[in-house]
Amino acid sequence: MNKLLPALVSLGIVSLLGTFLLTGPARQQLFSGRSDLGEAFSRRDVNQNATGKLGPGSRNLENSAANTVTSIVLDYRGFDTLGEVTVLFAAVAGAGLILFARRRREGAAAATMPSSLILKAASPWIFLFLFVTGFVIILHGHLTPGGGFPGGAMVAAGLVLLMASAGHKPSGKRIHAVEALAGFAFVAIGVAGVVLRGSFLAHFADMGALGDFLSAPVTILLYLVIGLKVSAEVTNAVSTLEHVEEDGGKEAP
Amino acid sequence: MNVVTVVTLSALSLFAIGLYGIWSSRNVLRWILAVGLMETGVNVFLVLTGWRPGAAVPIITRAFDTAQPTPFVDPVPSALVLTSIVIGLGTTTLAAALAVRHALHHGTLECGAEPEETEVQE
Repeated sequence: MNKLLPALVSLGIVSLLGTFLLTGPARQQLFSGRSDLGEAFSRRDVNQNATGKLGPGSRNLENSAANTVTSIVLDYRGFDTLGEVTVLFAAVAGAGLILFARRRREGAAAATMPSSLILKAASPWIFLFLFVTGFVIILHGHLTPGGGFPGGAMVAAGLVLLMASAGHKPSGKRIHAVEALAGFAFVAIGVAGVVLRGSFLAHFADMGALGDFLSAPVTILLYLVIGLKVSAEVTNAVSTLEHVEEDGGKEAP
Repeated sequence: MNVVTVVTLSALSLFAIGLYGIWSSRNVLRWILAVGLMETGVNVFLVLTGWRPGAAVPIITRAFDTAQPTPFVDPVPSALVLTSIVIGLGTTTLAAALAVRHALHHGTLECGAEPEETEVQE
């Protein structure tokens, strides 16, 4: 196959984009060095604050998560995050649907490769480490970088490792239960906001002081729910993909 | 060269590598990897649009306790990229499932005219 043409065309497209972005008005607009939202955010919080300063220990803030990205993702744009989790669920469910007919035809008697001694001996310890670190990241999502998505991915990595070392399929029912309960809990927290504060996903509990571990409690709860959901989804996706691969790979005509 | 130029060029290079990968290969797995590279390029560029010179991470720490707090980068692009990464994981999962299906049906990950035509004629 001729590979010169694709190389030239992609180089051409990208250099056009580069000249557009790096010279002229686009650069002025995109990289003016202003952060309107960041300034508005801190100014409003500072004005509402009794001490007139924003920092660890500030109270009566609109959202007291020290990590501003978290307060955007789970408070100002919380409904969007619910949609995002739904898209993730739909993708994993779609993957299961595409591969489901195949799995049922082959039956559950697919031979599995025995795992090596090193994998068997090491994986419980690595799982323990990943599990604890993952939950620490999930529970500190409002204070430090991280949160439900990366922490959930870490927990899922531990579960996948355990799955690989045990050489059998994990309990699908338990994973589905965690998935469903976490999705339900997200909506339930949103409805609690409607009942107590009049709008969906409103922060209905006391905000606490910025920088404390228990500041912005609803945000912590939401990230815990997201972490559980993401870990269940990712484990489910990997087990769906893995257990189709194991059945030999040849289809009867 | 300043930060904006360097990071924009690396984001565009990632995008170009992905574009070339999709265009020059017929392997389904390589397509998925190439789309992932393009996504990474776009995400890097999006994060860059929130950057400002000398700004800190958008996490309120002790730096804000002083009389003149340090400015922080715009957190909105970072929040959008968080969403983008998760959606990217979802699309990759779906694409991988389709690739498995394709491999099981055709016995190969190559997606091209030559093997399929012979199969249809038989």
